[in-house]
Amino acid sequence: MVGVGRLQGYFSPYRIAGRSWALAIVGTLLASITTPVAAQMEFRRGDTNADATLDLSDSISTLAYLFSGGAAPGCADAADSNDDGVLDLSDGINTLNYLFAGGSPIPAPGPEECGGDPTSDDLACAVYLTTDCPQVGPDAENLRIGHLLNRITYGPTQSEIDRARSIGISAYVDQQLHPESIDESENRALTTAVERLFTKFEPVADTTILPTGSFYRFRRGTSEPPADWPADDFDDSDWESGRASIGYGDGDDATILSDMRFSYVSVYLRTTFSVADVTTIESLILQITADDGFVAYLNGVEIARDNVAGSPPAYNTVATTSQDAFQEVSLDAHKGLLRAGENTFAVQVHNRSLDSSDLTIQPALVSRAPSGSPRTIMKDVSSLQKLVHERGVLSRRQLQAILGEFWENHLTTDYDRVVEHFDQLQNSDASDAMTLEQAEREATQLEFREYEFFYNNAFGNFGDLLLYSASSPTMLIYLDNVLNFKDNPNENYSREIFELSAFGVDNRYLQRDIEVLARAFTGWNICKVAPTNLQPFPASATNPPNPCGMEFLESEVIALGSGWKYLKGTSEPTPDASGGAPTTQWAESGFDDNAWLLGSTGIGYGDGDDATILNDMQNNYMSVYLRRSFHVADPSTLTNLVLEVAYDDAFIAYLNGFEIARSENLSDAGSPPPFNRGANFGHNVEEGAEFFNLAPYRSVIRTGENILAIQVHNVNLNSSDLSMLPRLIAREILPESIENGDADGEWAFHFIPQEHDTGTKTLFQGTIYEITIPARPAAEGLSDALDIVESMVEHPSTAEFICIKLIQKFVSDDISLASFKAGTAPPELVEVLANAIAAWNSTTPRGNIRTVMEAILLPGRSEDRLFWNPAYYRAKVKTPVEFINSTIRALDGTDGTVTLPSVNASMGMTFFTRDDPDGWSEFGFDWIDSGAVLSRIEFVRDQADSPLVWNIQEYLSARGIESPSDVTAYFNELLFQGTLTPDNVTQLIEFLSTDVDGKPSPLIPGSADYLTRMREFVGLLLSLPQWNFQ
Amino acid sequence: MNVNRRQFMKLGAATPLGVHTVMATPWLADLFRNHLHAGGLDLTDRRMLVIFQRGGNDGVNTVIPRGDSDYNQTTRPTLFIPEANAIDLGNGFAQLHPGLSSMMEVYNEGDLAILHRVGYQGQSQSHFDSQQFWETGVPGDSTLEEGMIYRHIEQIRSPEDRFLAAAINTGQLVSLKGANSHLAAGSLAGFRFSGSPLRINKFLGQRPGVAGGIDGQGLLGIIDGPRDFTDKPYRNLVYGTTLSLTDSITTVQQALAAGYTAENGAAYPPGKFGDKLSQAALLFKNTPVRVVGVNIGGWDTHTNQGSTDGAHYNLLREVGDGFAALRRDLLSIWDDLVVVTMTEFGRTSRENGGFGTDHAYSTVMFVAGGAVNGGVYNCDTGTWANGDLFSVNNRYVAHRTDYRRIFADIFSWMGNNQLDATIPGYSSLSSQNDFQSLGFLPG
Repeated sequence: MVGVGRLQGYFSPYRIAGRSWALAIVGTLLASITTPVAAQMEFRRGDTNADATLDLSDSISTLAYLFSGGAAPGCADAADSNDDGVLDLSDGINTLNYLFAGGSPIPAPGPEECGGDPTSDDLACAVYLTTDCPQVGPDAENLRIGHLLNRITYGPTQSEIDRARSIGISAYVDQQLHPESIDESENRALTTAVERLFTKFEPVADTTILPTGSFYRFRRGTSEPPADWPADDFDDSDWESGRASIGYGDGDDATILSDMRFSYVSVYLRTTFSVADVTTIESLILQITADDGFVAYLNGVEIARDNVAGSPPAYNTVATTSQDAFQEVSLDAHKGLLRAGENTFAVQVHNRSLDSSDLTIQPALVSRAPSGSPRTIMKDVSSLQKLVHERGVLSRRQLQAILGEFWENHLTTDYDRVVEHFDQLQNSDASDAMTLEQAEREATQLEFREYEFFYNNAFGNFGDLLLYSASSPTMLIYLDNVLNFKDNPNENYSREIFELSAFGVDNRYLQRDIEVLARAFTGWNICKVAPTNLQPFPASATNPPNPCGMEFLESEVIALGSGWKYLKGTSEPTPDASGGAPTTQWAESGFDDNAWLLGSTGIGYGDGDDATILNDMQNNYMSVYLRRSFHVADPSTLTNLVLEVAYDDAFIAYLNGFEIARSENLSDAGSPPPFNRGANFGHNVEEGAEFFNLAPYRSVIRTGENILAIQVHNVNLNSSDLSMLPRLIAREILPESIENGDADGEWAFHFIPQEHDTGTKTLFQGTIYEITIPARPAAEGLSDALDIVESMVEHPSTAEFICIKLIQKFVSDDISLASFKAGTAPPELVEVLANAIAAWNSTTPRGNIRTVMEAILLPGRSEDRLFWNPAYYRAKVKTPVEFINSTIRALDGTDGTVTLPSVNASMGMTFFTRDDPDGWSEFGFDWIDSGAVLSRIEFVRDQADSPLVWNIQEYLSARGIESPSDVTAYFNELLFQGTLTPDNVTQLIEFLSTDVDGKPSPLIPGSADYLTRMREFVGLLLSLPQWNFQ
Repeated sequence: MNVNRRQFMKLGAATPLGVHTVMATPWLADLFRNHLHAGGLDLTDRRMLVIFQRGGNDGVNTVIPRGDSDYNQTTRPTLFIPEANAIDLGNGFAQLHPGLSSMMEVYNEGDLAILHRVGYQGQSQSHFDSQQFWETGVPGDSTLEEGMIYRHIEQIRSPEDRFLAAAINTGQLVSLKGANSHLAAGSLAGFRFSGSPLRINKFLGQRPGVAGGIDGQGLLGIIDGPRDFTDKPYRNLVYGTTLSLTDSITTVQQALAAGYTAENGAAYPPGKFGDKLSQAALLFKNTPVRVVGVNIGGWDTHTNQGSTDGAHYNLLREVGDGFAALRRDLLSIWDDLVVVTMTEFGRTSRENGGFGTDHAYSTVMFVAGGAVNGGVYNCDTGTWANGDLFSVNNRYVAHRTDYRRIFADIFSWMGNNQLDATIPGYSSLSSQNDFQSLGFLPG
């Protein structure tokens, strides 16, 4: 196989393992010389099965290993019956000859006496399970305990090794399987670490008094204004008028001061707002975005300032520093200035310099009141990520921590997607439901709630975990079930619940089953409820709240229908007299639209939703202009005025000439865009109506006649359709409404019967697993998917897939669903799987995880459990979280200065924010690459080196170890169960006995470089390839 | 006898660590660029940059089959791109998405092959399986974990080669996975050991005189010294990766120290993807690397895909701008480079209810390079009948060319004459209709 020169590549499609390597052997490289393991036991030759007796069963074990996939002998030297240094058929025959045919004697140490191997060969004797032979190498009990702690905990610590030794392995496993039996009340380290991840949260409700985007009278700061300019009785009628934000230069201003740069540094703004009853205002808050400095006034009195000096600052005063910040200022000290009825708010804003590139002012006033009870919440998603580490490192309920992580990963959802969803929500009044900060807070709590369920039910029934996941708001958002409607089924979740949550890919289901299941899930959604209405599982899934969420009454100020005037956009309707540029005069109330045509909404063509059809528009003109007059008797009675627009492809709407709404695809089209401008991209009515909050435009509405005007644009001249369906509505929010932005509300699963497909559904048609869901009323439609999800745990595919994943996690990654289905999984692992599936099926309902784990782990008859076969010790690669947690545990350390979730990410793993729904892999090869190994080495060296992580002096003295050989021996046992080769041990001792220049220099306890050298040494130990194995 | 993995690994994997050349001269551009092209026989300078578009790119909107009347506003209400807004490719049939306008700089030079209708028989619509099939080169086998491009690299490996492939990615691409570890780093700048040189030197130590010997020191001495548990899984992977790490750190740090500026006005797109491309360019300029792989995610456009603007546009824009920048920056080696894209599947020809598209069958690949015969393949009147947009199950575009054939042509061009060892069953597959060469690279 080895040759020098141009390689002879070939492909060997070899497979046995779950996922196997097919190697092209590279003939150009030298064969490395491998030396057998030094960790040796004494043994009896020929005793393959290590039962202290040489008999027929040994020969059978040898042959079974060689030819029928039997377990590898723990002591290959013992199985090497003829001591020729090779395990082959001749060994089985040699034993048979000796036993039954008077063959030659078995070579030393022979079949009766314990002894070492007198001949040098490549075979090893790692474990010889009988207890009466002395060991030369690792302690068998230590190996077993180390193996156990490697797999059902995040790695050995001295105290857990001692505990397992003192109570025995069976009792230890039993405790871990029953975490409630482990008292954690005195685990201060854990309690303290976990407490740090939470913070107190006092929900508040904000009522807008002066909205962002309001209209202001403003004056450019080219000279000093009269001193009483902020006073309520000041006459500002000759000031300009414009909507906030006001400024220039950063592309975010509604009113742009294009002459400000190099010309003047301040702007003065005034507006009025009304308060019905000042006693209802609990806490008055100024929310203000200012670039750069400002002074604010209420009814003529200064109430807040930032970043500008002078009382008042002169018109030419520059701001102290450059900044662009949103801030909240409590005005409680100034509440007394408020009056019932009309009030005046004024603000002067100052730039940092004449040549500053931008300026912005955007104020708002809100009344804030507590809303609901204060509570303790998870700080943020990185705290939540850290919780996985804190429990993994510090909790004594280690198996529960591991399984909690396992289920979180198996049923993973992405925090970022949840944040994005919340950030786009609106309240009843069409205002943004929440800030990004609130969206992040709520997404964090939901991810925490979900993980907590998985952690608390880690040993429970899989059916509960699955149904919880299916009905969890995070999953409903993440895999699009909230977008799954009867007219537009969305397959995303139904595909993944089969492929990733329950059955495993292509395991007894078809594309058509995915489509049927998607129909069963139609109507599944989320809504907000009062905290007291948040139900525990399973009622949260089986009896979701109805009604819930936002509730309001709607009255139409302008309904779809007649009363519109329109003009085909064949030319600019009101070009500027001098240059012909577009103006908005056509949208103003005084404009004479007598020459315009009469029409009704929807208006447009081509898609069948139009009452007035523009059948000459295609290939002819790009836009159409609409006006409608409406009467308002008393503007103050219009609560929560909202513009609803369903459109194709683009529009800009005006109220009495002021722009109030614009589609995104005209964002850069100018104000107003010319008549022949095409939209940047298409949009159609089916994408759903958009809603615009008109609170900032209250001052624009007049008593009497008002004009709503809209210009509608196509995406291009030959577009197949155009539509405009506008409504002006007022919404009365009902007292029981829980607004999307309600900071006190909690997200819950919600079933919407009207969106459910009530038809008959048949799954797994024509198989023995066929399920038929009858057509039933929408009100009972929740049961469709509930019944299916609940039945999944009884389906053999789920048992196979979940048991295989548990075996991958705890025993060996040498089996996968694919290799199992292909019949290429190792037989001994298939047998473990059969036992696990039997355990899965033994309970009612099926799928009790504790029962399955007992079948995999419990060492009642240890030799029967593959888990305890030494061939499987130290045979799995640690995932990043396992690597990190085991490192800290070994040092009895803390995280020091690093952020564990970031370290985890640098090694390739993040919890709660994974994009893909398949969860992280258990396969070793997915975690080992050069970047990941570098991150691992950097992390352990940093940990070993940091006095914040561990007190190395205390650590060593508590264990009574100080010489190079003591220390090496100690860590060899703790980290590697004594399996380092003697040569490695020698090299490590040498390392400790050299100085930083690599020159021999005895290690002297107490000397200046003693601890430094120790830290480097531990860094090296943890950097060894061996530390990547468990 | 039933060979099991451990024995196989022991046999096969004795090899990967046996590189014992003395620390080589720095791999600086001048040294290896002086490789002679002896009448085109020496192909060792030919390189490949692989871009994996994760999530499944919508081939239909990427390269629009305008000549198929089923591409219209009824089948794709919000995704439809009007003829006037798309870029004409000059064959009277295909048009390019406007987001790819920068790619025309490459196309107009005749250096861009646009390959439509690429896929494979038995198309999987699972992201995870189909990505794996594209990367391992064995469709239908989800147990295999060794990359097709990895095997290609093994075939073109010369004895002195030490730094052949790299992924600019956190985590190795399956394409490049195999017994011999190749570099995978999210960022080259951070690809180094921290600490003082003295302490790093002591920590690393040195390898033994011969592999398995006991005369080594520090980490390298132990890794390359006597091993424990040689029969257990992953030993060669973990040991080999750690051992090769120190070499690749040296190479990468030397490459960084040698300096890099984008040439000829190349402007990589802002963001992670552009950063990765410029790091790939740095490796091509300053190291002997022959294959670099990068990912760009976000192609799973189930909702709000957009048309002449929006999510898909933005992604294509990054790719298109990236291609233009790569050509400019790497003009000096452009004749010896191919840049190739891959993605696990195309998307449904009909728009879904969420203004996006779902998982489908065949899709588009781009291959660029100075040696490439530019043009449009599999998207003209001869290769695309009207209605082919719905040629599978009335939902998907049927494939005409197997992705492995595309790669086979690139592999051959790079000097790999062991295609059967690279693409299992290649010889027997070659008779299939979907294994006929498109001729986008000179034979």
